[in-house]
Amino acid sequence: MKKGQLIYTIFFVLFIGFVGVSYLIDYGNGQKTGLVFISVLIELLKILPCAFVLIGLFEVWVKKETVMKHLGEKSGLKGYFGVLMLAGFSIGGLYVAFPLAEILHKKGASLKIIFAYLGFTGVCRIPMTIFEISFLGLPFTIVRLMVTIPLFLLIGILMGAILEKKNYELNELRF
Amino acid sequence: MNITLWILTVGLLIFSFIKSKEKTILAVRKAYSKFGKMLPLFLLVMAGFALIVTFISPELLQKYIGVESGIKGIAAALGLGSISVMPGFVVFPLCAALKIKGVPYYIIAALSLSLMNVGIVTFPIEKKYLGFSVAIIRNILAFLVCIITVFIIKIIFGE
Repeated sequence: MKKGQLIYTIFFVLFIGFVGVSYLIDYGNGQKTGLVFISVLIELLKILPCAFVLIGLFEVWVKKETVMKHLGEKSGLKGYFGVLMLAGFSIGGLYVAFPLAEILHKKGASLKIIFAYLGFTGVCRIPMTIFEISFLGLPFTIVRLMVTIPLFLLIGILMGAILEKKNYELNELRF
Repeated sequence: MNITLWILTVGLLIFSFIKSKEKTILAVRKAYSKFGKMLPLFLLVMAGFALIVTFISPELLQKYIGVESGIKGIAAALGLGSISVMPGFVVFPLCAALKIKGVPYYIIAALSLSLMNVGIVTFPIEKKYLGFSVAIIRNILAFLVCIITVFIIKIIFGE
């Protein structure tokens, strides 16, 4: 077992211990923590298997040339618009965004577009946005989108451009 | 929503299987290995999430945010929002509750934006993919976006 994995295991065992002891001594907040953990885990397990299978299918079937053409260096504005849509329909938040970004990177998408995508996933997921409109009203959401989207676009382009010069590589998750 | 996703996934899997058995098996294997690699870290992040949701609860946020307005209020909302993480279905009802209490839009924006875009709890996962320094820079820049947006919202809604 590698060091990183060992640390995760220790922390996780501590967490389970904390919840377990909370149940033994009837400590309310500890019990609540356990319940929240289980419910969030169940919520994500409804989504994540599908998301990862879809990423797997994408990796196997979509050709490198296709990704390069649509999201590569020369794709221009169309590429950014493409990842804006992709982010809009994204599910599972960052847990899905990072593996997908890694595959896109491997298939030749430009770093500028990938970092724009990572920014967009935080601000324009469609289900989240609809939820926001219903609670905070359309004017608020429109202003928020009109400010955050250009800013994250700019950040994506800047970070991508700088990192491309440094021959930066996105990692596949390794432990 | 979830059912549509499952139907879509199973449908595509069957379609893929008809086209090529080998490729489909490879795709599932890749999916399984990616998921497996993420799982330990994922469980830990979920544990951190559960602790935060319990101990920095929406009720607590509601108690602290809205007491102060102006720069102090913004700083408090941004700080709490960055430390904490919450799913959208918790964030927006909380924001609406704050709005009803009379908390101005810009404070609400500070909270919801930093909750969504700056992730101290999810940082371990981000670090694994992007590397430590790039992940830090990305979060700092996202934080700056939050600040800029908050001030623009303050100006536009004039509160």
